Amino acid sequence: MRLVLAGWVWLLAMAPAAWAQSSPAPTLRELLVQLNQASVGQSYRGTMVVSAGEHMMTAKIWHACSGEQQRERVENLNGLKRITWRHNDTVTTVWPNQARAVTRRFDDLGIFPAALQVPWHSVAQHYTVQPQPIRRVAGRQAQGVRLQATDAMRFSYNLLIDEQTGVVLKLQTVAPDGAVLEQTAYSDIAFDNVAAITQHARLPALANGTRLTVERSDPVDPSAMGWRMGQPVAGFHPLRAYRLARGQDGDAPWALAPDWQWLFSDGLASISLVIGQDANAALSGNDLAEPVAVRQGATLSYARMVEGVRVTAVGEAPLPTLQAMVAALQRMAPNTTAEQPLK
Amino acid sequence: MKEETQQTMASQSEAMAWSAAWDDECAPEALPPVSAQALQRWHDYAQIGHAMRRNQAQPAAQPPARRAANSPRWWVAAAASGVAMVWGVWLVSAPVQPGGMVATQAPAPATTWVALEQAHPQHAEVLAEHRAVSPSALRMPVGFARNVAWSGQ
Repeated sequence: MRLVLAGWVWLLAMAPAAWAQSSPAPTLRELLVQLNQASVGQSYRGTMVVSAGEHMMTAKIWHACSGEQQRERVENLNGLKRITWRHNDTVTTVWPNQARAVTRRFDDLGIFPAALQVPWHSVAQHYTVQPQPIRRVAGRQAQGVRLQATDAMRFSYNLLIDEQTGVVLKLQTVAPDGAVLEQTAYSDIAFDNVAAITQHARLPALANGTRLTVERSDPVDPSAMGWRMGQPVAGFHPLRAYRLARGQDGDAPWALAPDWQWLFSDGLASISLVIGQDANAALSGNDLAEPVAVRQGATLSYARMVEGVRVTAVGEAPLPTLQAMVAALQRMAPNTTAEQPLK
Repeated sequence: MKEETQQTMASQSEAMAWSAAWDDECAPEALPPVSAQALQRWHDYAQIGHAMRRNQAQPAAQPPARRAANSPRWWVAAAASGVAMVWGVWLVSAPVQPGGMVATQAPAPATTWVALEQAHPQHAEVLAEHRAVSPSALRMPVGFARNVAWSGQ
């Protein structure tokens, strides 16, 4: 009897390992290509839940893809009513109750395959793919996969991927100590009635009286602004630097944000360095006598003064990573020609 | 029960010692004359000792913790693990330089954690802007909707 019990215990203990061996894990590159292809090759609608600590947000999603046209609609069900439409790389957010809207065309929204740029070449050095058991989520069978960070300078990710379509049904962001910082999951999802999904995902004409703000990203040369990055945290590559500009309908001049932003990514995680003197970049309204940090879900912010300039690092990365990125910033003599007049 | 256990342990220790003596240098012919009963008892103890040694070499025959604790190698491994653990703690707590190297200079200034509610109200804009532009290979599969859901919170 004892032997039989021991046999069962052994079988149960070895089952996950046997499963992992029976299905060879895809490489990280293969997996990310599959995930991106699945996202542009499927139309679906569902309800997404994002939870982190005491925070929980729910949104309805319509995701329509036909050929090269990608449309998405995200309607928040919590807080102030807000609907966001995406058509390829143009994103428009409408606050119906406030009769205002913001639209912006992104140079690089991360649409596949453009998402797989510079960090793509080295991302496999910093994450490994670990198959996990099959789970059920949103009423569907989903394959578990863990993207395990190879060091403590970045978070890991647990994915549940729909077996039939390859769509990501659940994403967990996991800290180096194993704590789940944030979860994003579909509570329900449907892949039928593509025509209705496409119709819902299409941006309608704005209601009369809606005040439309247009945003754009003006490229910035960091060296011209008097800054250089010594050596960023391993794997994080500089992607672009820009300054946000806002304009209204009509001939009103564009308003330039007082801070500029420098983007880094290791392929999965991204870090923004917001550099400027303005309180917009601060975590507190007072001068930063000492560094301060804030966490919201899996996104951390870290701010401190660097040679008299306020620098805020924001990203889905552990605090030491943000600290190291700010510490690697070096101030040079600013180039007075950096400030170009707005067109 | 406790007394019985102590007696068993004493017998086993005695058997181990006698077995070692038997194997190493105390062949029966080298020993002083003993009674047949005593010789038989030595033999029995030797058999027990051999069995215990075999069990030590077979991991499944004894609880792992007890088996490991009986082995000098375990103590060496434990000491090495302790050193590695202390080094690991130092490594994690030490300031990290870009590139993953451990800095040897003075640590970075202390950081104060601020509750989100205590942060400057406009910090929400910084977070929203980061989420709006943050590049990731997971962005289109799931990140875009996640970022939009977070924005405005």
